Amino acid sequence: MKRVLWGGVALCVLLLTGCAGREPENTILVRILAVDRVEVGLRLTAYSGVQDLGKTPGVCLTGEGDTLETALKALRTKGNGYPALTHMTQLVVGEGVPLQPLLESLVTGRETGYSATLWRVSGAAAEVLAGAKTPVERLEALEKNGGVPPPNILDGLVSLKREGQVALPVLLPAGEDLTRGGDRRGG
Amino acid sequence: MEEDRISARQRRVLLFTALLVPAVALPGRLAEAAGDLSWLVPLLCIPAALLLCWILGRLGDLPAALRRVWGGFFGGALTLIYSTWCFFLLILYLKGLVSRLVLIGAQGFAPILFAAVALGIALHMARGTRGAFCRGTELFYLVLAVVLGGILLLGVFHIKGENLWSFVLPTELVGGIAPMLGVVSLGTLGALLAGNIESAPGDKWRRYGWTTGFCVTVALITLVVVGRLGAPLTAALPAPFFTLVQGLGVAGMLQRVEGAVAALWVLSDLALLGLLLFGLRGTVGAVCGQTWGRRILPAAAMAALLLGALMSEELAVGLRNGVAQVNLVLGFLVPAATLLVARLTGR
Repeated sequence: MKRVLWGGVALCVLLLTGCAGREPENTILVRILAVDRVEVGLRLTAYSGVQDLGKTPGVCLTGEGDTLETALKALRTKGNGYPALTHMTQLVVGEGVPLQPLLESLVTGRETGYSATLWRVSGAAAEVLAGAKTPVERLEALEKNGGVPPPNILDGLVSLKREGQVALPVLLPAGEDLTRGGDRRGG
Repeated sequence: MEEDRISARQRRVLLFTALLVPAVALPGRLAEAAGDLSWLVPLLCIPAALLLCWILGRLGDLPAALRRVWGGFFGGALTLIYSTWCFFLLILYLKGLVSRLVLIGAQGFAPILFAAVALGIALHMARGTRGAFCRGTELFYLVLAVVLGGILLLGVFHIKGENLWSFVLPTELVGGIAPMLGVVSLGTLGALLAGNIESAPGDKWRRYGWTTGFCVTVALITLVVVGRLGAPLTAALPAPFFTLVQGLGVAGMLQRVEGAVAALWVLSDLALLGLLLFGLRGTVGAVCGQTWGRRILPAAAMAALLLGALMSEELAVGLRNGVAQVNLVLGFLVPAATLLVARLTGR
């Protein structure tokens, strides 16, 4: 009886590997997520970095939905792979997007982690990023060399919960480049 | 029965390991009640925890003490109320384990599968000897002590002072005492493990040391969680301790460890579920005989699995928040009253 039991356990361990069928080569690692307010609710624009050690250029995907979850679902129907938010480093929030519910969804949703840097945009975030030549590299360089580091998702949410507002750096277009404007306080 | 002895140290380790499950759920409740100073609440509860420790030490085997003090009929009825308490807690903590695993990263999987596996392992342990179960939990304790130590150490560097200090009314601090004492009162489950406990010289004082250590551990957990997340966010999140863990790590080496920590925390859940099943076995056994104590376990586990599956998440959260009062009555007030009557009547 014991042999059968342990045999069953060993078989389960061998067969139930916990893999969900997502292969690394089919995964698109999203680095920037831009969130804009549109008529239906939210529009997400996701930029990946270069993949396969520079052989595959980065891609840009969009998805719309009435909530963050549905917009993410729509985003995942696009492209030739599975867009994963686990390595997201920058979150750019457009005009009129309610910040607190967005950050709460991201923190409780858990996929993104909460270390991504927060930026605000006056207008549409997707448009500002679309004007830049290499938004992923430029934004990450701005974060490192642009003075006081902007708050990340968690710091932003902690401030919003405690004080009702948070100061975020404004991202500005500069030809084919991006620059950092002054901080703007808001909820 | 003679060979099924456990030492007083093993019982202390078992209780500490098992109570880590409600301990990591406490920061949310404490932050909700006591705000920025919630980390002080566990320290304020140390005298009450030591008092409970003294009461339980005086009473010894609780089912036997209940029958001795309250008489065969009322004592037996009270003991069966303790059985119901164990069964009720079994459903709640089983449901809590599943909710936590689903929340941390097992979305899309059948929750009942997790519950069935965890309960199956706990049942297997509870049908064996207490000695084997306690030796198992000693290993669990070592693993969890290293994991918790690492989390607290890394967590200290993420604390922000402004999150830990603001003006809080003394009444708000008192509001946090009930949830904390509710968890401390679960220590009474250790007195339901009927049978022989081997004591070594100095055990009496070590018991107080471990009780104080548990309260300090809860205070430290609350300190790092509230210090990083702030009281308002801690109170709003469903599992703030694991949200904190999500951001800890060593860049480039060890990141996003919350899944691994949540998986290891199942060891604490197994200790708690096993303790509850042993409590059920001990209390039913004290009234109906040891054979019945063992026989009832599979039926109780099946019923807990079924009721847990049928219970809605909202109801489970409501019951978990309200269970502190039940714990206080059965874990603290009834033993205290029993000792008082025993002293007055000389029984």
